[in-house]
Order: sequence, then C-alpha cells, then structure tokens
Amino acid sequence: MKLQFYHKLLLVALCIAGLSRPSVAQNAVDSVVVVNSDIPTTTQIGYAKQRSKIISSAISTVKGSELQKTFNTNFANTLYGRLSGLTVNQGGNEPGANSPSLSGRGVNTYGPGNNLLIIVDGFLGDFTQFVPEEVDEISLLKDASATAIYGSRAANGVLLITTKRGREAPLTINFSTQQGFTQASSLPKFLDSYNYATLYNEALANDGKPALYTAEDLAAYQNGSDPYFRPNVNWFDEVLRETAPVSNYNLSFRGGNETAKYFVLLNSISSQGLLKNFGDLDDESSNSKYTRYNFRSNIDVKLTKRLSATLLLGGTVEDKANPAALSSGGTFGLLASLPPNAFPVRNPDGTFGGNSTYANPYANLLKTGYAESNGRTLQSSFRLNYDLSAITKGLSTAVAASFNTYFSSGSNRVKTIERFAISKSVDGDTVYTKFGQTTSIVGSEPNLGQYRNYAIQAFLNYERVFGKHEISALAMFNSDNSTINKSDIFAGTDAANLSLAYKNNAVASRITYVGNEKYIVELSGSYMGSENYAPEKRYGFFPAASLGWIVSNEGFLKNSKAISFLKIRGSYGLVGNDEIGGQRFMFDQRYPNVASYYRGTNNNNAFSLAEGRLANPDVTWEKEKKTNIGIEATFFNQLDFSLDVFNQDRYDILAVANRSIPLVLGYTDLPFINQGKVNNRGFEAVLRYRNKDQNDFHFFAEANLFYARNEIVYNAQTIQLNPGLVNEGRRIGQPYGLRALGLFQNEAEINASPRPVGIAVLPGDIKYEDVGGPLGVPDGIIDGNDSQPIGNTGLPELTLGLHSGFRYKGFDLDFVFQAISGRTAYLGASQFRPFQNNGQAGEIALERWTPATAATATFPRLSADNNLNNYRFSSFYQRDGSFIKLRSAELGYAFPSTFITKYKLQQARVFLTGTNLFSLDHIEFGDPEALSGYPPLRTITLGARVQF
Amino acid sequence: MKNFIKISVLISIFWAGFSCNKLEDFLDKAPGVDVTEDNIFTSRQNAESYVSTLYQYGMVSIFPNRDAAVISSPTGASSSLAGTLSGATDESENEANFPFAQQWNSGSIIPGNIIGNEDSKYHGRWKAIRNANILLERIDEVPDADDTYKTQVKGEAQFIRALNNFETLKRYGGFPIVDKRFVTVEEAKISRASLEECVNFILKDCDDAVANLPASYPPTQRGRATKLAALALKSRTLLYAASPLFNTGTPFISMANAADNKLICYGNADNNRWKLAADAAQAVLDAAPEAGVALIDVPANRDPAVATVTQGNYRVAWERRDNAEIIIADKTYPSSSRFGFPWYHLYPVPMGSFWVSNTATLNFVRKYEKKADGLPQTWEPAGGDDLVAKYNELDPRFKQTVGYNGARFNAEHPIIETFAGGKHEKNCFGGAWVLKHIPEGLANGGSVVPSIALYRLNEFYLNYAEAINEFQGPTPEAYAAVNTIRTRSGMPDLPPGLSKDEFRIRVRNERDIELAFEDHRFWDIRRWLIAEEEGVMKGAIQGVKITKLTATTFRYVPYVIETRSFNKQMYLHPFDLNEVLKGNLVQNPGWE
Repeated sequence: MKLQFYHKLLLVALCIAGLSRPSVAQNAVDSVVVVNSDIPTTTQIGYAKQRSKIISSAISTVKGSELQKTFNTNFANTLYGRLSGLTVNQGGNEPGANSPSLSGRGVNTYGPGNNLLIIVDGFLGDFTQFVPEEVDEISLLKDASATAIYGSRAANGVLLITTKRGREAPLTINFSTQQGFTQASSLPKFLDSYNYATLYNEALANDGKPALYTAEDLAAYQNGSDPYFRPNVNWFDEVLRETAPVSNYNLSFRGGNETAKYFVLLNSISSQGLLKNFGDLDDESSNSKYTRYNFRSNIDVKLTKRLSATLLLGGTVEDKANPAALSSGGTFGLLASLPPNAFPVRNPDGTFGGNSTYANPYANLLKTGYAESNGRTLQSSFRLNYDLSAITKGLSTAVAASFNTYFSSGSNRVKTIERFAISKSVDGDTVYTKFGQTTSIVGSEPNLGQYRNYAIQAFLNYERVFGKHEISALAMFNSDNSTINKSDIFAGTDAANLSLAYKNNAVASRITYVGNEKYIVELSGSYMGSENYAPEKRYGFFPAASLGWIVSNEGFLKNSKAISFLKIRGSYGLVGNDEIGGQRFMFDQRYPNVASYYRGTNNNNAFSLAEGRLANPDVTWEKEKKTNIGIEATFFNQLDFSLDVFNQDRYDILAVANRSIPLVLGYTDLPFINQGKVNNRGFEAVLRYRNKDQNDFHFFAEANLFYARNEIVYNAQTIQLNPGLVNEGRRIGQPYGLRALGLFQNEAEINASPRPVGIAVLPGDIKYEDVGGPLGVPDGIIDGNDSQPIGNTGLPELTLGLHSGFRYKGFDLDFVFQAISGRTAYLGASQFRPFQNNGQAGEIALERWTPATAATATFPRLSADNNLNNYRFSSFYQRDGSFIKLRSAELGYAFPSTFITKYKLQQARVFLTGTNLFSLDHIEFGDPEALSGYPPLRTITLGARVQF
Repeated sequence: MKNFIKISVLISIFWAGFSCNKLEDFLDKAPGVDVTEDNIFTSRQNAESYVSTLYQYGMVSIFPNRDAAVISSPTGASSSLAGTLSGATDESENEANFPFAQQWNSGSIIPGNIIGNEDSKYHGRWKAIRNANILLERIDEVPDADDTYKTQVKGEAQFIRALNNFETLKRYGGFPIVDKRFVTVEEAKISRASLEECVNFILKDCDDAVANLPASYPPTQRGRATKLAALALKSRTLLYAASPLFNTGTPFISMANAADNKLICYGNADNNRWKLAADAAQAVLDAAPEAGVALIDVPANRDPAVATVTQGNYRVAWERRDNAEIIIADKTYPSSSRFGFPWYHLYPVPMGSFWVSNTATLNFVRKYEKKADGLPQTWEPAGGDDLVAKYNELDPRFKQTVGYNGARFNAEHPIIETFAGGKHEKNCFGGAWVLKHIPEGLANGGSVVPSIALYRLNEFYLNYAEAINEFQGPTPEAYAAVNTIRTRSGMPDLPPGLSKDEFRIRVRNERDIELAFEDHRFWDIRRWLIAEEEGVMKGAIQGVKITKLTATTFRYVPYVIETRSFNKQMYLHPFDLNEVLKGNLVQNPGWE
C-alpha cells in the first residue's frame, strides 16, 4: 500500500472536492432521513441542557443517529473521527474485547489516570455496550467551565451519554435489521516452507553453521511432494475463515402524551469470530461467537401538576464463546510464530502433528475444550422532579438515585491433548514421538469482573427570564459509592484495600447569566470530597468561569448577510483528577509483612512486619488549570466554523522524589508526593458546510481537526547522566531506544564504529549511534546508555475527522474518514523477527541484507539464533504510524412516500454499510494500529429499516 | 432581588446541609484493615515482628548480594553482585568475569556504580537504622511487654544501629548521623559528621547496648544480639579507628576542601587510640565465658588428618552452625542446596554448581607458614616438581581453608584435581579452589542451613595482639594472644624477641590466615593503607599451573593471572553519584 499512499490521498481529496461542487437546485425535502448534521438547538451540559447558542464553554457533540452508520459490537468504536478533541485509540479487535482507549484533548498526565469521566444520564456508568439506536446524544465536555461541576474527576474531560427518551407524539415503532459479514482487513504474511527453508539455510550460513535443509528438502517444499515430512502449512488458512457473519436486530417503541412518555428498545447484535466453526466438528469445542442483547425502558411520567418522575432502565446480556480459551490472543500468538514446515496438521495415522516447541493450533481449537462468558449489565436510575414555582417562579427541585452494576462470569472447560512429531527411522519406518498428554476435561467457573455503584443526587434548579436578562442556576449534591476493580490503575495496592469502595461527596453549583442575548457569564464550581485522602485533605474546591459575547447580535453585524452568527468565548478554571495512582489511603503509614529473618538453633522463621512505603499525609488529587478560548461563526447560513485554542497545566501529579530525598531517611519506598507537572496545549477546528435545503440535492461536509502536544514539565526523574534519557521537556510516553544508522556494509566499517560488547557484529547488522556512556559521554560502546528519544508515541498528535454525505431523491451516501498523524508504529511483532525464538519468518525477511543486495537492503541480515544486536528496541523498526481510514460508509435508499403510505409505513429504507473499508498508510505489512494479535476487521452489512 | 435572596438562602442551606456529620462519616475508612504504625506498638507480638525485621534489614553478611536479595534497592542500581569481596583482594580470583570484584581489580569503580559493585547495602543500612530509631522511640508504649523485654529491644536496636553505622564508617569514613526517625524530608538533608563524631556515636550505642542486652538467650532465640556482640562491635570499631587510614593528621588524599579532611580522618595521630582498641578486645575475651563463647580447641583435632579433616578445630569453627566460637552470625537464610542462596556464591562450577566461586591465589597460599618451624614456605619463581610436598608442609589451617590439588573437597569430590586436564581445573586460575565456608553437607545435592559468622572469638585475640603491639610493642600478652590462636591449629609459637615492626608483620599474616575469606582482608588492607603495595590490590596476582607428572607428583609453575589496578582513592568508597547529587554529601577525595 505504501507506494500508492499519496496517489490515493490525492484521489480522496479530489473525490471530496468533487462532491462539494454546488449542485443544481431541486425540489423539496423528505425530512424522515437524517442526512444532515444540523447544529442541535440544545446541547447536553453537566446536569442540564443549554441552548447551543449561549454555551460559553468548549463542548463537542454527536447524535446517536449518526453513529448508527458504523457497525461495531463496541459502541466506543463508532466514535472514530466524530468528536473533535476526542482521541480514540484502537484497542483489540476481537468481539467482546475491543474497547478502544478514549482520551479527551490528548494526554494530560503521566500518571496512570488519563481516562475520560463517563457519565451516562447523569451518573457514573459505562457505555461501550450500548447500541447507537438507544443513544440520543454524546457530548464531550472539554474546558474547565464545562467540567468544573464534576470537580475532582473532571480534569481529563467528561463524556456525557444521554439515552433516548419518549416524546409527546403518537407511537412510532421502528424495526431495523442488518445482516452481513466481517473479514480480516489485513493478516500478517509469512513465508511458505520453501522460502522459509531457503532463508533459514542462509541464516545458518550467516551464523557460520552448515545448512539444515538439503536441495531435496527444498524441492519437496516447492512441489509439495512430501506433505507429511516436508509440510507446507499456512496455519492462518487452517484455522481462520474468510468471512464471519454478523447481524443486528433492533426494535424500538417511542411515543407518549402529556402524562407519560416512553422509549423502549430491544436489540440483539451478534458477531461470529474469524475462527472456523470448530464446535461443529467436535463436542469438546465450541464455535466462536459474540452475542449481546440490549434492552432499554425510559419512562417519564407526570404524576401531578407539579411532580414528575423519570425511570431509566437499561441493560445488556453479553454471551461469548471461543474454542480453547476465552480470548483468541494465545491462538494468534501461536499462529504468528509457528513455522510452516514444523509439522503437518495431521500425521499419516490421523494424529495431530506437533513438536516439543510448538503446539498444534488446529488441534488446540478442536480438542482442548472451550470457554464461555456471560456478562450482565444493569443501569438504572429514578428521578423525581418537583416544581417549586409556588415559592418563586422558575424554581424546581429534584432528587435522583441510581444503581449501576456489571457482573461477568465464565465457564471454562479445559483439557490437554497429545501431539506427535514424526520422523523416519533408518529403515524408513515412520516414528512417532509423543508430546503432551491427553486428559479429560476439567471445568471451572471463574468470576471475570464486576463493578457496582450507587449514587444519590439532589438538585435545586432555577430558570427565569427577566426582560433582557436570562438567568439559570443549579445547585446540586451528589454522593456515590463505587466498587470497581481498579487494580490496573492503583497498581501496588494491597489486596486488603482493593475491594474497598470508592466514595465521593460533592456539592456543585452553576449560574449562567445571559444579557440581551449578547453577553454571557457563567460561574460554576464544585466542592468535592473523597475517602482516599486524610480527613483534613479530603475536600477540594474546583471553580471555573466563562465569558461569551455573541457579536453577531450587536447592531453592527445584525444585518450582515455574510456573518450569520459569531460568538467569541473564553473560560478559565481549576479541575481535578482523582485517578492519581499510587496506592489507596496513602496518608496511612502501613506495616506490611516482609521476608522473615531466621533465628534459634532450629532456624525458625520469625514472622516479620516492616514499615511500608512512607505515608504522605498531604497526598491529594491532581489538579489542572485549563484555559480555553474559542470562536464560533456561521457564514451565509451555510458554513459553520469554530476554533478552540487551549492550554492546560496539570500539576500535583504523583511522583516519587528520587532526585531529592536522601537515602539516609531510611525509607522502604519513598512516599508519593504531589509534585509532577505536565503542560498540554493544542487547538481544535471544525468546519461544516451544508447546502441550503431548497432542492432535491442535499449535501454536507464536516471536517474536524484536533491537535495537542504535551510536555512533561517536572516528574522528579532520577538524575540522568545521559541527556537522551531525560524525560522532562519531552512528551508523555516518548519511546526511548537506540537510533539506527543503517546497516553495516563491511568489516572495515564495523571496526571503525562503536559496537555492543560481547556480541559479534557482522556486515548486514544494524549500526547504532553512540550517544552516551556510564558518565554521560559517548564511550565507543553501544548499550542502554545510548538510548535516546526516538519517534512518537502510539497516540496521534493530530486527528482529522471528515464526515460528509449527500442525499439525492431517495438515495443517500454518508461516510466518515479518520486521518491521524504524529504517531509512530513499531514493527515489534514476530512477523518482523524472522527465526527469532525458533519462530517463522514474515515477508519482511525477503528484504534482508545479503552481500548481493547490500546497497538496497532494508532489513538486517538473517540469523537463525536469537540475534542480540539486530532486534533491540531501536528506530530501525519505527514507522510513520499516520493513516487515513474510511471508518464508515453507508449508501441508503429511502422508499418514496407514495410507496410507504401504501403499506401504512412512515418510513422504509434499505442501506449498505461498510466499516473500516480501507486504510491508507505507510505500513507495508499490515494495519498500523494492529500489527499482531487478533486481526483488524472490516465489516459490510446490508440493512433495512421500517418505521410505522 | 427578593427572588435572588430566596435562592441564595436555598443554595446556602443546600451547601450547609452538606457538612453534616453523617456525610462526613461516609468518607471515613473502617478501621482495622491494615497493620499501621499505631497498632504495631499495641502488642508485644506485633512489636516482636518488627524486631525481626530489624535483623532482616540490619544484619551484616559477607555477601553483598544478601541485601539485594532481601531488600529491594530504590536507587535503581541493578546488580547481580555475584560472589564475595574476597576476589578483589590478594586472597582469591573469581572463576568468572562477571562478579563485581573484577570491577575493583580493573580499577573500574566509579561513583555511578558503587552500589552495584559492592555497597548494595547502602540503602539497607539506613532502613535498618530507621527501623532501630522507630523501635527506640516507641517500644516503651507496648502495653503488654515487661521492662526486661523493652530494655532488651532497645539494646538490640542500639546494636543494629551501631553495626550499620560501623559498616558505613569502614566504607566511607564520616557519615550523616541519624539518631532519630526523620519525619520530614528536610530533616534528612543532613551533612556528614566528622569521623571522630561518628566513631563516638557508634561507641555510645555499643556501650548502651552492652548495658541493655542480656549475656545470652534461650536456644530458640539464638541469633539475637548479646552483650558480647556489642562488645565485639566496639572492639572492631576501635581497632579500625586506631588504624593508619583514620588515625592520622593527613589523609591518604586530601579532600578538595582541606577543612573536610576531618570527615575521613581524625586530624591527628594518637597512639592512645590503640590502647582503647586493645582494651576493647580484652573486654570481649573477658566477657566471653559468661556468654558461653569459647575457642574451639580439642587438642586431638589441632592438625587433623585428611580423613578427619571435618573434625579439625579450625574447620569446625567456620563450618558448624551455632558453634561455641560464634558471637553472632547472619541467619537470614533457610536451608538450601548449592543451587540456593548463599551457597551458589561459593560453590565452584566444576564441582557441580552453576554460578561462581573463587580460586585461591599463590599470593595467598604463600602466607601459610610451615607447620614444623613456623617459617615461610619457599615457592620457586620458576616452579618445581614438589608441589605435593610443599602443600603437605603447610600450616594445618591450609587444608581446612583451601581446596588444593590432591586434597579432599567433600564426599562427592574426595580428590581435587586442578592439574591440567583434571576434573576441577576449568577456570581454576589460582590452581586451588576456596574451600572455606562450603559445608560438607552440600555434597551429593544436600541442603544446609547457613550461618555465616559475623564475629567469632578468634578475631579478638588478634585484635588485641595487633592493638597492644602498636601501643607498646610485642608484650607477653600480645604473644600469648597470637599463640593461643596458633596453638589451637597446631602451629608453633611465634619466635621470641620480635621487634614491634616484625611482630606487626607476623600478626597481620596471622590475621590473613586465620580470618581468610571472611570479609576481613579487603577492609584490613585499606585500614593499614597497604592495598597499593605490589601484589596486594595492585600489580601481579599469581596462580600456579599444575601438571601431573606421576600419580603422586605434580609440577607447579607460578604465573601471573592478572595485573590489577588500584587507584589511591580506593582507600575509601565513593558515595553513590545519585546521593551526592542530592546535595547533602561531600564526596570522598579522588571521586569528585
């Protein structure tokens, strides 16, 4: 793909340019199908909705209906390129284990907690198992003004998910289904047996060893004449199928009247994994599958004139099954290292092939049992609203309670099987050597994870307009209690505290004033407490303020044709992050059990307790000062533009004071001290065009661009004599490694160059730059002291989302591109490590250095042994990880009203949806986001929707 | 405005309601999940568990790897610290290149690698001292402990604090005195105290410990510090303090700022310091009987035959766990085979181990006198064919220390073959293996509980003799002390009429022989300022190449194993670079 990258890029650009050509005026509108991404008139903000025009903070929004155009079993994967300021970094690809990581405005801390706060309908929750059909809107709150109301949890940004509610309208029933398939969009390519053996002989020769494969062997590999003793197995072909079916069924009911409104949804989504249907072949195996059932029942009831109630109830049941293990990771690891000529799938006598090093992946999937899991989620909340206009007009109060829970358990059936290596005896008989043991199946029912949280909230709301003055105010109280297995975040937490609930109390307020529809002032803040800190350090105050000026409402712009809307806004505030890492209750000096001393003539082991990590009674949350300046404009009622520039200074990040606290203090481990600092700055720009709704042709295009760069200001790193290893001034997650200077061409060059000690370096090996030594100056030796910053992190610095579409008569097309840049991909997978650890060789090995190809080789000489020089972490294997991916595309046709009225329908539409259709990138050997493990997936579905 | 007031009042009530107690309690953690400092000192049982850690952190061993093994190092210095420090002296040469001792031999020690190349204990010592300080501060609070126990624990804490401070003193000279638990980081930013203050601080702790500690413990508690252990520590401290390295007006190299010289020496030479050292050694000898400590001396076993070599007095004294001669030992370890810690630092690879051991150099073997007349053995520079005869003439301690060609290693290796082509020749650079410390029980896959002595009574006879000779010459008491040691190993008395200088040479040689491979030599040659002499830590280190001539005759040819470097600043350790950069420590001379 590499060579054509720029050509294709150009092509895409031309296509877009072509689409944006002004179109011929046509006739009126069918409003049923949403093609257009109109600016919503209200936007979800913290604990309320606000008119979009008067918002003075930085928020980006996407409607659930737009996300329906991406087919994915994980809802978070529909967000690629959708929200400016949101970085979605692909996680796994395996259905059921494919949550991406989400971060708002890049990385703001080197601490372990850079996660967005996820708020579902006002409460802590999870949304990855939702389906787009049940989601009304997603808002990303970015600046301090938008997030301060979430206090100590807000610094990484807040993602608000609002589910659909009923409306005052007759019942509409929506049914839709999608049927299609997924396929691997790229698989690692490995050499066949002939090439493998040829290159292996070359690798042996490079190591000064005799060839292993004879000419006869090579010929047999080439013509396949000896499939048992000289097999040529493509293991990916043996265990994977070309395509796997996916399907989705969705049924929803929506409607209501003045007293009751409802939205009810049932959804079933399934995706069968890429593994072949091993369960059909053996009763001790299982077909790979992932199925999830979602339900939702959101009801609003007006109980009396002043009292209304809301009950939100949503849940999922998730079933997963796989042969051999719950996750396919191990299978793909084995597939990526097993040489093609190691053994046949089955031996002549029907037994499974295998050897001492490798198991047989086909046999593993077929005969070693299976694993199932079942996860249940329930998210529920109940709210009572009471109108207090009896006290004063515009006043109301509300109380709400929520209970969210998740539980997942598994059912594993495990057995082992025997495999046989075959060889020929002197008299030509086939000799079978057994490895492994066939056992009977053993079952277990593990608990795979859970969380639960309870929360109560109380609100006092006030909204009123006094002539030209509009005031809205909110005061609220929140108390929650979450039991979440956060072991990954709180690394080092002792087990006794791991299961203790996390508790928070908060009061928060916001007051918004809009004067004359021109001037906006908003003050907000929260006072929040957590149990994780010492009593006197428990609470923190997080205030923010924002100002807005709607310039277009001033007299001098009022009649401007060109400038339909113009707003300038700015915000500043303080927010916190309580996922600080370290361990729980760091204010408490603990005495854990340690290795024991022996005593007595019988050498008895005496139980020992020692002072643990030094307590820090002052420990507190991370804090961040966020500044945001933004401008929003609409030109000619057609072109929207917005620009936000931000600067975020995170401080009080936990760091250990390695550099300053003398060892004479006598600590076991230094206390965590709030002293780290990170700066993160960047901008977001959105440009949105839609043609005027006056003809049959509707077109829109929206581009959002997001850039952020962080810098570690201070992290108390230990003194580094080698400047290349200093973190400060560099980005979080900056990779450090050796810088490759190319390949050695001859002995003379090797002798004249710095080299590693104790490792023989030959022509064709990687040459590294000598930049440091034990004393911080180059020492002629290549070792860990020569590490320096190389490349970028795996997270992009620049994200471009491009969403465009058009509708002409009944036809519509909608697509989303995501382009990212400023990211490095590392070729570290086994396909880039030919013959290492007895593994197979990827196609990259064909580009190896040999004396004949010395001038053009792009890969070092091959070694049959583990080469200690060529496979070090170095810039040699770094590639530009930029890409453009067509994340989703949908082509639809809405049946004309003449047709649908005939069948008493309100809407009927068929659509063809593709997800992850292609990627343009610099990586020749796979997907830049998934170079190993479960392959990246492309999904194509055909769907139909009727509404009646 | 009225509305505004109403709303303000409501919001205020809202916020005020928030501060009620119920909500506050919501954020309080239920007590009792963890052992915190406060409940350590609420029961004798918990306090006792903490005292156990005092030993785990504070005991000193001949294995630099010990601390790395039991206490993770926060300095980030990774080290395998293979073997012992013996290989950095003229005693021995490591059989492999990777042990840290080789870094000393090549003069590659720098402030950036000292933690990884000897002093992995630097951090552990401060931890032990903190542990001791916390005990001293709070042991009186334990409600269910009697005064006897509290007094004893104080004595143990004082002993461990003194012991660890002495270990710092012998490596670096003056150090920051930590006499209490530091609560704030600022308190820990203290400077080095003068050498004299440090010695006095250690001595004060020793005296307090002597007053507080019992003479002995019941067998189940053996291993804890006793009165005698504190006296022994005091003796060794005063011996080092009186030695030329410290007891001088001008240090071996002046500090960058001459005013800092008091950090690494007394600033004057005072012969009376030897008197104090002699008295302290005498005090150990005097107090030993009360503690049940005595030299192992069975007259029949003074010069054991090869068949009964494991019965030899000298061997029993180093080999047998908890023997009568031991004052205190390092008991960090469970029983382990030669593949477990600490034995794999000692057991030779050709004998069936996997890591590293040491081979005895000719420089060392030369120190053994002939047992018949107490005169030096003659080792021809050109070699000779009479190796067996030469070995057989040596001091009986030789066969109880060195695994030489033809001798017995253990039941698994009854005849050692270090001749060219022999079974145990590989990497035996010195021509002989170090046998000392390797118990017979490790043969044939056996497991042995280690107890590596920290102080044995024999040392204090030699401390006394050395000190009193320096103070007033070779007195009869000095002769008697050395001869007691020689007699119990079947060696003739020292010849009468030696001058002070001659006696010094003899007593130092006696020390080399008697305390060989017990982590004395490296420190002794530094305090005597002789490490720079040819063949000590500098210059040619010799071994012998052995050729089998007949079944019973072997030729030896001396050869130079390696030529070692010693830079004068190596008389004291450099402080770890990271520590110096923190700003409170003045680096030792020559390491800046």
